[in-house]
Amino acid sequence: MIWGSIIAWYLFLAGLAAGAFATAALVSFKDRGRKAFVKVQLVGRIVALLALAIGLFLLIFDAEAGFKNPLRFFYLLTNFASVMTWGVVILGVFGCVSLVTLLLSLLKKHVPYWLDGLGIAAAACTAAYTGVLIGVIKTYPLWNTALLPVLFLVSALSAGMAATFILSALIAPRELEGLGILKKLHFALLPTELLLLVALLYVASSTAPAAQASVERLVSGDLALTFWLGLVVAGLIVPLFSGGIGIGAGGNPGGRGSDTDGADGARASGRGGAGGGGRGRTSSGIRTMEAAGDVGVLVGGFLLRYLIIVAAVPLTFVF
Amino acid sequence: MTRYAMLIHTTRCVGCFACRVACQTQNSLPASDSFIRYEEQESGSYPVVYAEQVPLQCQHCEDAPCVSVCPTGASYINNEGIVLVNQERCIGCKYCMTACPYNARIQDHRTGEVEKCRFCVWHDDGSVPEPACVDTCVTGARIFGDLDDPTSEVSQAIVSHNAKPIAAGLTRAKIYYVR
Repeated sequence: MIWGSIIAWYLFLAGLAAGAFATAALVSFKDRGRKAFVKVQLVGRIVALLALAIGLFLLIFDAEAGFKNPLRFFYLLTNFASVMTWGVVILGVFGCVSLVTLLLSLLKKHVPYWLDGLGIAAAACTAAYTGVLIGVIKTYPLWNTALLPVLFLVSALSAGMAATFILSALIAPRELEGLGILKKLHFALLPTELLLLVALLYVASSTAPAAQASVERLVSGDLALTFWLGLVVAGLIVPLFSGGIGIGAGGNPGGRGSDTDGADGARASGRGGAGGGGRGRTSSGIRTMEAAGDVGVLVGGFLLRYLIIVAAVPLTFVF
Repeated sequence: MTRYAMLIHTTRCVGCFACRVACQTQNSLPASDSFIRYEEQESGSYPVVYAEQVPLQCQHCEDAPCVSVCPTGASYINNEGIVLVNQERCIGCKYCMTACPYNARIQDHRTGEVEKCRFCVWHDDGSVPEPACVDTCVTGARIFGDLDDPTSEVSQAIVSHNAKPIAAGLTRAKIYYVR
């Protein structure tokens, strides 16, 4: 195996960073300057920069010769035929926007919408490039499909939202109450991801014997237990159930208000104090379950990349 | 122009692995690392079966995926058609290693840099170099020479044996196999 778990962690963390940034930016768009969701935004922006920093460190650490001779990293901008070179440019833009927006948020300044828009574009490029990076490699037919960048993009947003929501639930649960529409988007990503995963495995297994061998390792071979229990059950099925129940509870008449007045709902529940049962309160049981689902999403997000990296069988052995 | 190429006659190969040892010695590689590896291929059906050793190394492709993916420009093709790595530019990201369909590249963990067969060009002093693997082959299964010279031994052997790259149409490889 040429690339292993370090690269899988990098792909996951870069995607997580992109997803968390997009979550914060979407919250900001919904907030429209009313400052009702300041903490969720801050959490998203911190998660984004932190995940990106850790991911980049892992990437540099894995590039042994560059790690020993750091000046060589300047050569990274020389071959624009390489996806990795484009990745460096994309990561540069995303990293800068991510840092600036975090500083603005920390200084309690309003982040301009155009900057968040640019950031969302850079985040989407970051998440998709992690799929293109390995998707252009013909040696591994499992990777060599156009579906992979799309799958990684969807999974990245899903993981970023999950991480932001878990931490926000601890720090600012009431702000989270008003973000029903994002929770619905978060939920909708799961069946999308499942569909893309099935399509990827199905299409890939029909392209080349090496891809078929890779799919067999996942579905019924040495990686089957991790694939079924880790990725499918913990990463997709559990979050689907918990997310569905969470949204169902949120939709009750006694639950939080409609999405259009979500921000007001959040503030109203804030005034409601600790009395509980007020407008827009979700029971702690449901909240715990939603958090468990989000942990599942994160586990699944990592395992998706890890399994796709390690399951890939090269063409070499089937000439 | 000169385009260096090699022919490997797998039906003459006895699987003694002398080429690998010669290569390791020539390139000062530790025993665990090698620029040449082997795939054993079985063919035929019982009771008429064959096993052949297929030595694999850098195929010096004209359409080299390792060169196009290399983010730092460390991998390149020189003007004699030999794929090389400029060690001073390599960051060890291993993208080239994943891109090589022949799994012909290795990472030297002493430096972190990626290396591979260089057709022994680095000790070329103006004369036509003879790679160590060709020089050492006991059964004469390897021929090295200029593909652009129709009178060269390698060009003539490719024609007379109808030798072909290991995987047709993959990367325009310049190592030809007689199988």
